[in-house]
Amino acid sequence: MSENVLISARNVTKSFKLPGNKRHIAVDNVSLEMYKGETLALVGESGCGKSTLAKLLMRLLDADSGEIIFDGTDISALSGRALRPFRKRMQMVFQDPASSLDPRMKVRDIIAEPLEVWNALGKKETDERVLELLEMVELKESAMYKYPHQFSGGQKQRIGIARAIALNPDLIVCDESVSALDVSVQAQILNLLKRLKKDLGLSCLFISHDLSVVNFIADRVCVMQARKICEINDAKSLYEHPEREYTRYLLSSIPTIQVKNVF
Amino acid sequence: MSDILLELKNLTVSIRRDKEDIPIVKGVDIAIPRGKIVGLVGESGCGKSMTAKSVMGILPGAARVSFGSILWHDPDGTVTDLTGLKEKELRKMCGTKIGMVFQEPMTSLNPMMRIGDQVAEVLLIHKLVKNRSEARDKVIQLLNEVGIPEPELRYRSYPHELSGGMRQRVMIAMAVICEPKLLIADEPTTALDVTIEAQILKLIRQMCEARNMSAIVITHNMGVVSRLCDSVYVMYMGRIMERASVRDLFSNPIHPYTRGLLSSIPRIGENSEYLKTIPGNIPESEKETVGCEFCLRCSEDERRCFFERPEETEAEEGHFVSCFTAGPGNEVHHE
Amino acid sequence: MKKEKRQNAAADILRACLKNKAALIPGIIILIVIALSVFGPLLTHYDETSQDLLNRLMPPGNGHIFGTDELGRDVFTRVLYGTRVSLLVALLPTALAVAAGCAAGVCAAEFKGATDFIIMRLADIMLSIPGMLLAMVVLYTLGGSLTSVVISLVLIEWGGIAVVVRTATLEIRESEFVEAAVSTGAGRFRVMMRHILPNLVPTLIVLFTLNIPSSILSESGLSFLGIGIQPPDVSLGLMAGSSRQYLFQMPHLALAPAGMIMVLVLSFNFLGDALRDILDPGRRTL
Repeated sequence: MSENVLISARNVTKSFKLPGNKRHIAVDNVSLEMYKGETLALVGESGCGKSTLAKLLMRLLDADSGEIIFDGTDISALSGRALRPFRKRMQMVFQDPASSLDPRMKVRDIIAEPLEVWNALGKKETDERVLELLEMVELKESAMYKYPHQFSGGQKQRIGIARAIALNPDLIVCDESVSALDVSVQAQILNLLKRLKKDLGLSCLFISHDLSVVNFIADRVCVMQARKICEINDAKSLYEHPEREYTRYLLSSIPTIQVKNVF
Repeated sequence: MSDILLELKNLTVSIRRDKEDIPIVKGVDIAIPRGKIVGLVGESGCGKSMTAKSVMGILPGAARVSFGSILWHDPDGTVTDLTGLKEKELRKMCGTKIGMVFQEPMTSLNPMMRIGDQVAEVLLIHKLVKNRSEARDKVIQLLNEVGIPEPELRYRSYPHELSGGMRQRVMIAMAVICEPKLLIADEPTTALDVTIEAQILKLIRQMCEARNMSAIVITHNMGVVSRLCDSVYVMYMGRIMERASVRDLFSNPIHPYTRGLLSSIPRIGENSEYLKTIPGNIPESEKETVGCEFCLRCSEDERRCFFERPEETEAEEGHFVSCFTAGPGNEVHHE
Repeated sequence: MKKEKRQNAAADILRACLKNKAALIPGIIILIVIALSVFGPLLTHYDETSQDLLNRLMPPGNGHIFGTDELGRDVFTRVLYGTRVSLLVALLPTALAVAAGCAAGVCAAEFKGATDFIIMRLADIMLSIPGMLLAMVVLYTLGGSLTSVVISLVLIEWGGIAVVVRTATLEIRESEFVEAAVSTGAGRFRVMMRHILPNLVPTLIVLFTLNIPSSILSESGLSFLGIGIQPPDVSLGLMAGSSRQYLFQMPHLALAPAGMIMVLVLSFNFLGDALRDILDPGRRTL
């Protein structure tokens, strides 16, 4: 079983300093395992610590205590140079497609950045790879030499996805990646993520506050409440038989639409 | 006494850019009945916010109402066109007869002022109370009504000391303190968590029913519409595509855009491999189209949509659709 | 078609400037002034220092466009040469100050801790001393010359620039695209060069153009007080200063250099404002 685990957190705690020597605990003694090839969703309300937990897993933040184990290696103590090979294997898709792309770089350079960081390819090969990636996220070739602001929100998010999969990572973390998008565009991006995940054999940590989106994309769901994990289960079982009171409350709060006759 | 409170007639709002008027709301007709909650739903850039803002006369700099009228029906039968009012008259009207709730309660509240004083301020500005202590009593009573625990204590809180949901309750209190006839809520729950959203929607519903107040709810969220509204207008690129009662719209969506929108929403208990989507992106509304605004992304294969704009037709009783496929003799085909 | 798309960012900015009247007009004026000062000797047959005591304090006309000064020197010629010095004093110390301030500000924001503390307190100290006073100390110590004027102007200006750059850097560092770069594995140096500096460029250009007027004015002030540029060198401030005795009889003596100072200051100010708008790519299409 354990070689199936891609990344796991063991008793991870993180707190932030507040003015006046107080500390705000953002993630409290959380343990979590994520398997290879699965989509695990972290859901919860704002301030429950789901984004912080994801950043801890990616080592974008340092945990106060606890271990982060990526593919059998404890990466929580690694720093700088030693961490870089692991950075390559986990990539992130951000919430706000506008601010996560450098406004002064052309799309080609944005998508090529991870390739250049890893000196993976020469200039010509890089261009080819960028083209290939653009095709994978269903953008036109002409996008290469435009700036991010020339694209709509959904297209920007596609660029962000292309950048995230450029290095063939094992894990991509989607932090509220579709919540800033319009409904019709959100559906396109969700489909794209699901298809890429299948084609590339990615594992995906999907952070969202939207339980209906999570229901569509996730294999397993982890509900967080107040800095701790409340319930974790298969998506199907969790939605059909929520065990915890809080999960039931969350599910009952979703505005449901009774629609017949659509398409 | 007519049962219509507010009527938008052929409302056109355009933005001036590079010496050109670009229409962003294109001849919209909306009627708000007394005591009913009307939803205005659409994706970003469809003009839903601009429509609401034109009612309040708070359109941003370059935008203006270039055509059409906004008619306010008083119970005694007088009709006022809000577009013809002077700034000062409109302000008075908006303060006392129309209340507004914004998306982000943190930025719409003054961070330096106690929340109670902010709510009381509205009463004092419009001279609806004699003095501060009377205002205070009224505010505390209302804070209690909108579900703020310990209102006497909370009266003295500053906005940052409250949670997002509590701030939105304060906003609602502020909007209804003058007993307006109409509440305009612009994405009132978008910034809130689902559990809080459910509570706030319930609160808006209660406030409307208790006061026989009408409301325009602007949202991109079909779920909000289905929970809160009586009738709904679906907007796309500045035009009304479909309007119906909430029950009719959700049980029998007719316009291809509405159907596409509804099928784009992932639903719990429905485990399809992929979502059905509307292809393409929302076009920039720069160019005026001759045909249907939706023709480029539409699933129906109709040539004339590119050259001709469909008139609004009544597909079933009280259910209006602007689409050729919904016209008489054109049976809608569902797969 | 393909070629046009591949044009680099500098060309994009230049094209935007050409389209934008608010940038184009002051830009052209500045170019004309630069051309005048560079090609000055070709436009006039007088020498900036040659005196003609028989034709002292002549009003404009008679072959002297702006008349002559108290030593019979052609004012027009002297304005051309003075502009040369003023432009040099405008551009050189401002560029040095922006470079120094940028380095200091980025370092402070990037390394935080003690580095940040030391740099920022140093900047605070510089900012708390009145600029003129600081310049006077430098000039009295080093003697009045172009070099010491440049040094004192850099000292006056770098602090304020460093503070602004530090704040801007911190803001950029917080942005998601930097986080995105870090999460792809980019090192600190790469993030600095590829993301932080390019995004600082608009801030720097604006700081540069907005500091030029204050440099021109400081130099004029110092020369006016007689501790800046020393005769026989000539600068606009010096000219304005030496003409103050004749202000009421011969106002053109002061007006000519003062007018040139005003044209330069205003042009750089307007250009700075326009550039700030142009350099924001999100707004460029509007």
